[in-house]
Amino acid sequence: MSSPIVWIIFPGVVSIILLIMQRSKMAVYISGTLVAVVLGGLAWLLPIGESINIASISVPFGDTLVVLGRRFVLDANDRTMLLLIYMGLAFWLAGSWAAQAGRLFVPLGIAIAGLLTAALTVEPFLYAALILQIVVLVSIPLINPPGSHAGGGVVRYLTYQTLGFPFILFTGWLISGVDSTILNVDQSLLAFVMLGIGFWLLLGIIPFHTWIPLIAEQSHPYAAAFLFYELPLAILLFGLGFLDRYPWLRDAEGLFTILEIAGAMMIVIAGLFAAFQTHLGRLFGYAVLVEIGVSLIAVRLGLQPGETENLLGLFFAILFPRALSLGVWALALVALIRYAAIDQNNPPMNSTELTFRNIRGYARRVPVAAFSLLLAHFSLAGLPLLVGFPVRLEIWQGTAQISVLLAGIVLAGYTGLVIGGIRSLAALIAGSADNPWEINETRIEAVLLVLGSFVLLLMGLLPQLFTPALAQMADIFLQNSP
Amino acid sequence: MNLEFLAYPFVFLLAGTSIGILVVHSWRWAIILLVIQYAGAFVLTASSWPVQLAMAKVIAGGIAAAVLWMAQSGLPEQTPDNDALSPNTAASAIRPHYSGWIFRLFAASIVGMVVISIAAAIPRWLPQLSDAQILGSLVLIGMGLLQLGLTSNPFWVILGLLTVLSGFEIVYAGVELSALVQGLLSGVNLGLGLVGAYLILSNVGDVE
Repeated sequence: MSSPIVWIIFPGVVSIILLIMQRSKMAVYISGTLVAVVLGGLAWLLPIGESINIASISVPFGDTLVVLGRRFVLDANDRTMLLLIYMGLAFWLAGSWAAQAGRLFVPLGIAIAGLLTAALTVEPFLYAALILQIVVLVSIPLINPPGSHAGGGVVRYLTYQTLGFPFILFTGWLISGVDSTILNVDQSLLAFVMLGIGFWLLLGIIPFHTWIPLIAEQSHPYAAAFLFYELPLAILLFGLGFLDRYPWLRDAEGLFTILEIAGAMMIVIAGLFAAFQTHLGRLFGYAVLVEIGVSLIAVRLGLQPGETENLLGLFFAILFPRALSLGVWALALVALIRYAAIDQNNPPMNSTELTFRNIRGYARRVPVAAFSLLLAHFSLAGLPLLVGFPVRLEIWQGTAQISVLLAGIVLAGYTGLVIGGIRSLAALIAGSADNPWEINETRIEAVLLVLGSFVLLLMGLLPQLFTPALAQMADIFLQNSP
Repeated sequence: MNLEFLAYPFVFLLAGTSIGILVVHSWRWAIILLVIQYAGAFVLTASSWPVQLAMAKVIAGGIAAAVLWMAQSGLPEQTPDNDALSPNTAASAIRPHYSGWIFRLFAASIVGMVVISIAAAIPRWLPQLSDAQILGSLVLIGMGLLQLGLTSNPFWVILGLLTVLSGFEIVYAGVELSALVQGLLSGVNLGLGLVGAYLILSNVGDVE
């Protein structure tokens, strides 16, 4: 028995079994969610690399699996990553029934989690790019379910991701097995540029961002949110792995500037678009772009030289608020779409109809969904008393210490996102005051949205309960750092 | 087996097939050209690799092409998605536009010039590659990117991606000899073919 069998092979097998069992939707949902919870729990409990004592029998629990001469190594230092992946998966799968995310959501979600784990643990490291590309291919039926039209967003997503991975693969070959003293200046520059272009494409950094708002508009919001959470997280962890393994990359001249420019550009441009947006789906996409930007800024702060405390904790601390906000936002969008389908006698299962014009006054007819959506939106925009605020405040402070101009740009972007939220609020509550208040959400939607909104508020009021624990993940993640 | 003496004519073959894919309106011709393109890429790859391994790429590419052929065959005849360069050009699907051909040939010639100009600089970074390999791979990457810039139809986008990947694989075969990496790359080619077929067929309901 070894850890890769538990967290890579087993999810793959479960995924295939659940694909076969598709007809029994409830069984797939329950068993898939349970598997994710158990795998997350095991990541917390199992002593990886040691022996497990069951009664009087001692079973060795190794950390390596060899496949065709290549190794998958999942040791105790990867516990953080496993928790992030599988607890995150459990969170998303748990809400998938209420969100009606499609029959393929649970099996493909588990397959994607297994593949992401494989990507982040394979040795040599360069294989990860190929596995991430397989994740992209597997995710296509998730965001474009059978029978639905292949929208422009899906095609662009496939295009940019496929164009990005050769750059990473090539860089991996260029720098694997050598250190900076062997690489000459030309090679170092080439590796740095190729790596930059690769991550630029994979993360959807402007101008390669267009697939994100399009998918947010054209795909099922919950499936899109799952992808928007898991994929950038895996790519960023992969990028951090590069920086962790190759210190000369971390010290490369220009890295900080590139991270600052990319992050600030994402936040300010996406914030600007959000301020003028008139479509709830695309607005969701622009908030995701802001989140990718703030992650880049958090990585930049984490690499700040001379800091005694590990500021990379900010990158990890932002993950739970993000997952929660995206999940609540997506579920609220699903409830709005479902109601819009009834209201407009037109059954789309994507957010194409959610223009401000169409959703005028919906706050009186689907109030739980409308106010949950606004809470999630303002949480991602960093408004005080909500879960997103404490970590963002830290990030803004850190950014201001680097450069006041940079902090100003970041704040301008967030202002745009807040304006987008206020305009959504105005559209949702518009209409005659004579219209009666009704609750048209399903019971499960209402319960989950109320619960999610409550947690958004509670954790915003008591950030000390979760932020330190999440921030400590960075210490575990970087235990191998030189 | 050293196939280097055959390489230069095959660079021209690759240029011809990739430009052909760019300008033809018929999906059948495009897939035939794609298969020929894989054969050309095989020769350039075989200069770095054992023939058996290089052959695996042709087989993977051939299967991807076959999958795309079957998917396209499953679409109703004479519809925008069946023969058009773009789903928005229903009329142009049936009557080729000569201005479109001229534009694409002109764009391809510009890409060709860019390729020739940058090919000279590549050996500085990748001395292990022959000139023919560099030229062949850059032509495929350039024409594939051009193709991607000119269409949003899933079928033609997948052809563009497969063309770009073929170009990359020629370069990568020269520097990375691991059979497993190359096997995974072949898997990605196959996966792209399958995803392409999935996206093409997902439009059927729309067309009908």
